[in-house]
Amino acid sequence: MRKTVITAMLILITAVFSGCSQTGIEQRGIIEGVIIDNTDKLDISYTFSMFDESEDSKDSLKTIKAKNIEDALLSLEKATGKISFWGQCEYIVLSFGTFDNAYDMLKFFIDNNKIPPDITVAFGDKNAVELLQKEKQQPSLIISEAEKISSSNNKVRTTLMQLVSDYIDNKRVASVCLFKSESKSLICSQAVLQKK
Amino acid sequence: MITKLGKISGGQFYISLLLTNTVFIFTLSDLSVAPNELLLSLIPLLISMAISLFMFYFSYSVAEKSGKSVVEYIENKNKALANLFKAIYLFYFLYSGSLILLSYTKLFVTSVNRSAVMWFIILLMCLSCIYSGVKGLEALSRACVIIFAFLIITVLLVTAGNFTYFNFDNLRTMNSKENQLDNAVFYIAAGFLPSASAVLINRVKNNSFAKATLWQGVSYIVAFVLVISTVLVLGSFSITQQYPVFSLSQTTGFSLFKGADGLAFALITFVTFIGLSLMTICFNNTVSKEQSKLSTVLSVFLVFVLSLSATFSDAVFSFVFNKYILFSLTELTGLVIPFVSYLMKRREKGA
Repeated sequence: MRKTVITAMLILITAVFSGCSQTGIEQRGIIEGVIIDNTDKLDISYTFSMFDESEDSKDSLKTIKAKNIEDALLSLEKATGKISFWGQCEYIVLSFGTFDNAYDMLKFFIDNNKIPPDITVAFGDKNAVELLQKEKQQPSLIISEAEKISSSNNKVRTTLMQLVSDYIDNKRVASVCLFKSESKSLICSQAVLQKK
Repeated sequence: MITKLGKISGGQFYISLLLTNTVFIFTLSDLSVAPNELLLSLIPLLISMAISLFMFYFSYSVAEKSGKSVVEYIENKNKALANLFKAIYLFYFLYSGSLILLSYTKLFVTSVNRSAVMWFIILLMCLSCIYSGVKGLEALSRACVIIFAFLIITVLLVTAGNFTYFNFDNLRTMNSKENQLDNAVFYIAAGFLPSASAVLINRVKNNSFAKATLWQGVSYIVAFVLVISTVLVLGSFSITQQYPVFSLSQTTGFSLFKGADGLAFALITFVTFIGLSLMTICFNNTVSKEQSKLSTVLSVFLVFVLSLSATFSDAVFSFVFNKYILFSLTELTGLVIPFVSYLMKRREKGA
């Protein structure tokens, strides 16, 4: 009797605590990266780089214009019929602007417990953002380029936690990784983000 | 079924208390309040360690001279007073049990699985604790030794895995001194050593004050390593995080291995189980001289009801999570009552 009770309890605990839920993997929209173009303040363009087995770059890049990321996610979920999953998100690319704008855009990611604090955050100029919105890039490419810059200069902020810490500490400027587009390829360089 | 209460070694007893304290390091956000200098970060930890040991001395002293716990000793002298004190202890154990359980449940639904139903997690943990509560302190303390090894491995892994992110500039830029007092209050409140000892110390064999100091020291070293690692890695970002130490585990990485949040969560589940079971055993020890199934089930049921009420009512929730209520209860059960029994013992000796 005791063994039966213990076995039943173990099965229950495993089922509940292992994260087995009603949502299967095929019902989830796995987000690998986000490209945010906030040059137009009223209509921000969010491009979600989704994991797709077929690796078809057109299908795996979804661009949505919305006032904020929450609205964009609702539209994304409606369009794909899948629940967004942030556990595999590896990079965020923002259009280059001011430090304050960048912080506003990153608020959603700070509060999302599924996103690790060391997620790569980089910036892009107009051409680079356009390229990223049209052609899917491998997350490893963006991460390795950002890492190259940060390893050459440890003052360059390439992760969410570093950038947000600098903002909270009231630093006026932050060195960041800036992507530029040259003949359809991305080149990373160091740039300075300033507070208003 | 009634079983006579057995004894455990001092090391096992202090390890089980150390693990119970660990719940709060992982699940309460107060640890994000980090100091602006390395030296200052040691102050609240050292103050609380010294105060906890000072509070513990009274229970220890009574037990050393009489072989009885604080509650047992007072019971022999004044039954009415003992009943009043027992009621306070019982309330403290129920309150602490609910706090441990709710802290864990909150972390579960915010960081692990948002769609999880709170009452179901509470129910499952309570059911597990009935089993460990019935098995008693001897079985639990043996399990604690294994979980302690798991804790050390996890802490080492999380710290070493974040080494590349260590930024010593973070120590200079963090918060102000005004948080020091707040931090010290929290550490003292989260320390179960004096209160649990007041009830369980008669069940510890080969006990010594040096042993208690040693394990209390280990407990605070673990807390210190985690707090400092969090500050070094996350910096001011930790202020934005609800569970800074859990966030720290997410950034752990060794070449292909990335993220130790699963490991951290497993550890949190274990220590929650240990903490809750220990509170159940303390409850049982307060009401009965034998291991009784009825008192175990009753204590778990009351913790379940209080925790469940907190999930439905904001007022109950803020009552359970009130740091100052916990602090007052800890002072009452860990300092005031043991001090009364200590004075009674001294007077008896003088007479």
